[in-house]
Amino acid sequence: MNQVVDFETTIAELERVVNELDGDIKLERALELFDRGMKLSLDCENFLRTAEQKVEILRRTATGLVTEPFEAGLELPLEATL
Amino acid sequence: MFSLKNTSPLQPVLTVSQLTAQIRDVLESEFQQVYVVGEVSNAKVYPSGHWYFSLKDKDATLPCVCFRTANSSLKFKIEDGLMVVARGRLNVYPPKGAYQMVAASLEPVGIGEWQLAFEQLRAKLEREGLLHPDKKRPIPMLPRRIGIVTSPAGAAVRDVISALSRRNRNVHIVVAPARVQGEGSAEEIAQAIDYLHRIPDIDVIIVARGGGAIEDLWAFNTEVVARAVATSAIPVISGVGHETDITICDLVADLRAPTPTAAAELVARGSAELLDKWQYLEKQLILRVESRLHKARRELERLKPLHVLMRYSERLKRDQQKIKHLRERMLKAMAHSLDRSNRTWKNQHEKLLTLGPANVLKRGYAIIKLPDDGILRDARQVKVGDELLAFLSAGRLKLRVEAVEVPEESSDSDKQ
Repeated sequence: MNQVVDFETTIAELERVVNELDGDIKLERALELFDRGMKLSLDCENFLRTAEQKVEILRRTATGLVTEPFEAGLELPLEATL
Repeated sequence: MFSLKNTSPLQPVLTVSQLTAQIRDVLESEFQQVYVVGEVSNAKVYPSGHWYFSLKDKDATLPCVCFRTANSSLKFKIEDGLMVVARGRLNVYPPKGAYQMVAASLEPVGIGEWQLAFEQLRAKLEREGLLHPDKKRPIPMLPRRIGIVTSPAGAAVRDVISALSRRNRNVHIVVAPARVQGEGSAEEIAQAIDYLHRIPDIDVIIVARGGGAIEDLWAFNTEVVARAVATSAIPVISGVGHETDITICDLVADLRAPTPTAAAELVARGSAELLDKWQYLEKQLILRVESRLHKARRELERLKPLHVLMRYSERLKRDQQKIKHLRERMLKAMAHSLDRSNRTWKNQHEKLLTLGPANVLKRGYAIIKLPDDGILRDARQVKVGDELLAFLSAGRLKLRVEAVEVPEESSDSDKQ
């Protein structure tokens, strides 16, 4: 959840940087903003790169809830899952 | 037995109990199974779960009871103002001398039982403020972990997973299995929602079920599911049934999707938007900094001539300095040389003065000048008749040449 919030925050900050870059600013500031923007963009990319597709199903066991890989379409008896 | 004046043997006097027993026999045997329509009033639900109410119309009132065993199978709750058809029997209660109807079942008039139950629950949740738009939480734009509450064997789970995968490959899906139809399904759905709260970092929950008859979707119209969705700490998207089916779960959820697939697409659309935004921003970042650099280059281009001028003036300044220095040196040199030449001139002047013609003239010599002001040194410079001026130590003389005598050998020596 926090990472997601971070991603959205990062995107929002990147947007601010880009907007400021559009204004009438000194070259030095522009290069500063560019550096900052590229860093933010890289953060976004890293965030996306670390995410992977995974499908799991909850199963209740004697020790508590566990997650197991799930194949959609596989007929599972309900009693076996919860 | 009593014996009274106006009684006849054919009309024996009865005790209250006797009469009541007779009335009870008549009523209860005559009205074992009766249908009666009327409006519900004075409805009361007792802690025991029994319903007490009256059915009435314009001119009459019928007290009724619907015991818990009978009303537990009803979807709706008894409430004043409802028009119902009650099926049941009449029952007499001797201690109060009262009769009432014992309803085995109630059926709303003019509205389906399911619809009524739906409306009642909706009104109840609405009164509690659970359906208020302010209660809707935003769905995270880019959820990384998505919980799905549905039957693992149904079509809905496949629809949701395939739609999510299609749109966003980076998602982690956790299926919380629950039966979505039949006895106990509502409790299982509520439980599954609760279970997902124990899995860390679930960003959003999709409650999904494929289409079906209103009875099949009933679990999603129950209070237990409504409350589980309403109290969920994680935002819930409801994707139940077909487009035309609206369930209580849809109303309570933070976002309602017409179908399970649509629910998945709503989740993934946010991610797609955010991805698009990121890509756009990155492109803009580069474009804009490039444009700024381009502008800077243009400014530089524009300043180039000036720059050259500046360098020129710099050089000029340097040159000027040099020139100034040179001039100073020059002036100094000139002054020096002037001084020198001055002194030279003085020397010469004194020399001249000492060697000058004045002294010579005083000694008795004369200087003879030609008409062109030249000094006559050689007799061959003049011819007979030329006028000459002779400067003496005091005064001058105008002379005319009468004869020119040139010494033969003096011509060579003159040339030397």
